[in-house]
Amino acid sequence: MTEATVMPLKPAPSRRSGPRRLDRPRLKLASLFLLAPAGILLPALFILPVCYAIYLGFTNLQLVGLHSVHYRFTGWANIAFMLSDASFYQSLWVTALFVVGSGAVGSTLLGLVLAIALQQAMPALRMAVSGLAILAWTLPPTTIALVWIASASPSGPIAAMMADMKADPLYDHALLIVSAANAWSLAGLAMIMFSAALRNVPKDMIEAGTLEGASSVQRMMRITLPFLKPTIVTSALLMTLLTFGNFTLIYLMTAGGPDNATNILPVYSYLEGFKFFNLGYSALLGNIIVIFSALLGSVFVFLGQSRR
Amino acid sequence: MLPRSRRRLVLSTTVLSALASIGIMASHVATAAAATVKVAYSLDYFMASPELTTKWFTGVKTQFETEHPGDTLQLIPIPGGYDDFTTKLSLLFNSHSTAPDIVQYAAVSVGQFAASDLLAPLDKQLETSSWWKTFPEPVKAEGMIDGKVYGVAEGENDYGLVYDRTLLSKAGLPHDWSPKTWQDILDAARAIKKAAPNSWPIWLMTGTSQGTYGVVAGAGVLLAAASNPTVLDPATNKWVVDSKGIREVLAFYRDASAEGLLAPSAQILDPNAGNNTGPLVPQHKIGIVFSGNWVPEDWSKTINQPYWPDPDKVIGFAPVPTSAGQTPGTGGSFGGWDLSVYKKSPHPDLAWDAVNIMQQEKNMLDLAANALVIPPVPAYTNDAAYLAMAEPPFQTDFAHLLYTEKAMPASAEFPVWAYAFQQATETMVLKPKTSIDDAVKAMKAYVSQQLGADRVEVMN
Amino acid sequence: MLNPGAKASKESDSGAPVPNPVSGLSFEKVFSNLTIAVLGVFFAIPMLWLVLASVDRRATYALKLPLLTFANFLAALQPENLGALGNSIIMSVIATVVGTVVAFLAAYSFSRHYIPWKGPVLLAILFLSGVPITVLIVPMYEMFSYAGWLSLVPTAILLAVTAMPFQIYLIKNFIDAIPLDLEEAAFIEKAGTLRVLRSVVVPMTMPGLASAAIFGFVNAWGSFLLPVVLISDVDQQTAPERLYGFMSSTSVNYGGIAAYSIIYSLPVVLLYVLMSRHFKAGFVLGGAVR
Repeated sequence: MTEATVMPLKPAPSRRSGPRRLDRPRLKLASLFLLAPAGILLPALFILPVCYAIYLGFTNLQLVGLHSVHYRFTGWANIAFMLSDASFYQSLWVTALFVVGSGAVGSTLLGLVLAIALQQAMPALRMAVSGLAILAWTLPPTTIALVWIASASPSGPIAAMMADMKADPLYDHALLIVSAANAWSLAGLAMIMFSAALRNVPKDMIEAGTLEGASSVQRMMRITLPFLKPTIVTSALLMTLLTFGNFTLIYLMTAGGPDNATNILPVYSYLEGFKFFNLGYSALLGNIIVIFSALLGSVFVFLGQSRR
Repeated sequence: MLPRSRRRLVLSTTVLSALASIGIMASHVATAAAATVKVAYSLDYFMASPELTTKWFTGVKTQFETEHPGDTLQLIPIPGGYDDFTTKLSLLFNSHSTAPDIVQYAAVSVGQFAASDLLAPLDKQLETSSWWKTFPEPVKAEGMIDGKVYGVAEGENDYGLVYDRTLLSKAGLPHDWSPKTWQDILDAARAIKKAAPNSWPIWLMTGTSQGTYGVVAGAGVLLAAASNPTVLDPATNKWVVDSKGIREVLAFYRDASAEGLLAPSAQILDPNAGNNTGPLVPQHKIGIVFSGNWVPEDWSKTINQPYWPDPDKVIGFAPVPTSAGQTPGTGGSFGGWDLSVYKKSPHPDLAWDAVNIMQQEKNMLDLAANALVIPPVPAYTNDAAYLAMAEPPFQTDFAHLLYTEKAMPASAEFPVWAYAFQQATETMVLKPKTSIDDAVKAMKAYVSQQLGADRVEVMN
Repeated sequence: MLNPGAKASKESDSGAPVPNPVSGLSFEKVFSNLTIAVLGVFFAIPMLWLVLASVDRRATYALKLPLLTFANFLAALQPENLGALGNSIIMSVIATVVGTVVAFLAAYSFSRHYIPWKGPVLLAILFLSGVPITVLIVPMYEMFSYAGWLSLVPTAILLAVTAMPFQIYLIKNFIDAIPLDLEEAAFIEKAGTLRVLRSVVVPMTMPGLASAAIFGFVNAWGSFLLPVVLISDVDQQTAPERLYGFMSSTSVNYGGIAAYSIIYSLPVVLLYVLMSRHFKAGFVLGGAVR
């Protein structure tokens, strides 16, 4: 049971042993009918575009310009361009920093600390702070971007806390600020996952540890954290995926700047396509994103399967 | 309760008759409105406020529909900052059903849209136009590609130095300061920093976030006054990615940033940087502003953000000097907002009529007041209404600059060069330890990668 | 992306855990409370700005006591701003209904019927739920512009499809957990499939359907990029785009922006508050992937 609590994304195990069906194993007309809407919409508006994007990634299509109407297949030209594109490498690096720093580590750690500390907190404080964390997570991305732009502006509270009204947090530490904003918006979800998992830590083990004279730090390191390990892995992966897709936050806060400091791949792909009008190259960058998310997804599924 | 079948019948009749009446209404509208001409424009970015934008275009619409009974001028206001406006405009143009017949946009975009074969050449109509004849040649050339006119200016922005006399006198500089070289500007900034350490000695826009237009208002102002201002070499038709001029500009940014003479990055790298200075100058926060013509107009009674009577007493004006004082002595860039007509417009004549209405003196002066631009017809700049838009002498000073300054080349490839140049100056501001060689190298690499190595050149 | 069948998710929605019965040292308590207080400030400050600025006559990006006014809310409720909210509602409702209904039909079939290559197909669907939406914009833009679909309704359908993989997964897991007996009984009485779905399966899957619907709604409501690129008619722009237009306008009205973004955020937050009472796990799961 406890395993199920920390393993999202794996198909729910059937309650009874072995697959149970109402019919014999053959495709029925009813199934076709029920599957038809999804079977048409998903390929037409999701899978086909992804495949079409693969093709467009090898063309010189432009949004506006010489090749907006008459574009052609350009073979490896876009790939060669990408491999010698310094902005692309910088974007990869920034993406890695953002996704790992803010997603895998930042949000997970923040959620973990929240969940653990909440256990010992005064009820009123507990209600208020967990409520705030969840509220932060429910806000739409555009609102999150707005409140963080305000907070990190030169006249905003972060600059005031740095006791330097001339400080300019969003521009001086752009990646740090967008990472904080992203973690701020995701920690509520991680907290919920960890709170749930913490409830399943066997109390007798902790009591036994206390009786044996283990300090609270020792109990944390030896009992609680090892018990939370699967949740930590799950949370880290989920946060990574969610952070990777978090285009809106960065685009609205910094549009990838200043000096490309926050130019993560999804933002770079959008800017190439819709600011510099190179739709073909933009599609290629999108394909790179698909490859990465497929890799991440595989790790996710692999961990889910292997834990069964 | 009606029986079920009967209810169904009632329902379907209602639906049917509703549909039918909508159909009749639609066909009625279609016959009544002989023609609809669509005009797209920036709601938030170009004029001083969305309300003024709406007011101006509603006026044009009323006038058009009075002169063409039965026809409609459909307004398509596009929200967002410069980049979002340009992107959205491109999206509209990409399908024939949404493409506007007329567009009002930055002149630096004309090249791209013309290269996509989206714009109609206007030379024929312009032959008989009375207002076109009066445009100064550089303004005419701004919307011209390969000898054909695709964009006609509606107003120009140009750039000079606006300085705070209080801060300068504190630093021991003359009341009527007039720098002869860029070194003079840096020296003055150093003195200001010493006398008033909390002030921002120089305010100069930089970076890529303002979009292509930002280069006209930032680094381009300096480049146009540098010892070699060439952007697109007319002899070879290649983009200049390394020149004495470019290096001078980068050095200016580097020195100003390294010595802490520039306003904070949030100010000068901001997507809306151009609008930050108006309210800040009255607070005596900035020493020397590389300023657009609209900044003093911000303090007028009509715009009022904030209203500031007699600014001339505390604020001085000077043209941007050339880098080392070489002839012609002053320089700078200008950039305008243009009107273009969609190539496949179903009503090209009506569209042209609408353009003519927008170019009428009263509308042009209103636009100049709303958008804080200089009218392209020189006579209008002597009009009392124009002169009253800001306290003297700023209106005249800025209007005169138009004849000595340079526009950026109208070309589909210009945004690529502009981005590389903005990027290079942004690097110098954020990382002043970068060598100029490296910055130039990066600029050259970017442009030659985007456009092809045969499209760039080094010029000295 | 959580397993709704999982026990823990059903229990937790407030995130407030049952206090550890083992009473620790008072130092531990003080330290925990202190940590929570500091983190509370971290979470509160950005939101505090939003609330204060929305009622401040002279709002800026600074955190300060407001000069009380409600003019900002009036400004935020101007007709064109309301229109944008209306567009968001239309788009999100279409996306929710289409996505949830289609996903339910498919999920039922996946749960109960024999389907060739079921495992690989489900796995492929699972992968789709992790693909960032950004990669769709270039091909979708080309396809929509070719078909002349750059408008609100096709975009709503597309948003429904982007939520669908996760919705299928979510609902299937719920259906998997319901016992077969009732359906078997209904089929023995020769009831048609649709009738069984409507009168037997739907009522029992309600929490799952509600979660999926909320997920679909939140997904469409928060979506910024797809409507910006795929809706060309300015009259059809949605609330986030309008909000962004506000933010990048030449004359920034900070109070109005704050007020508008509160109005814009409210439906999603309320949805969470209301739904968390009814369906414990619902929204938690629903909002997992924005």
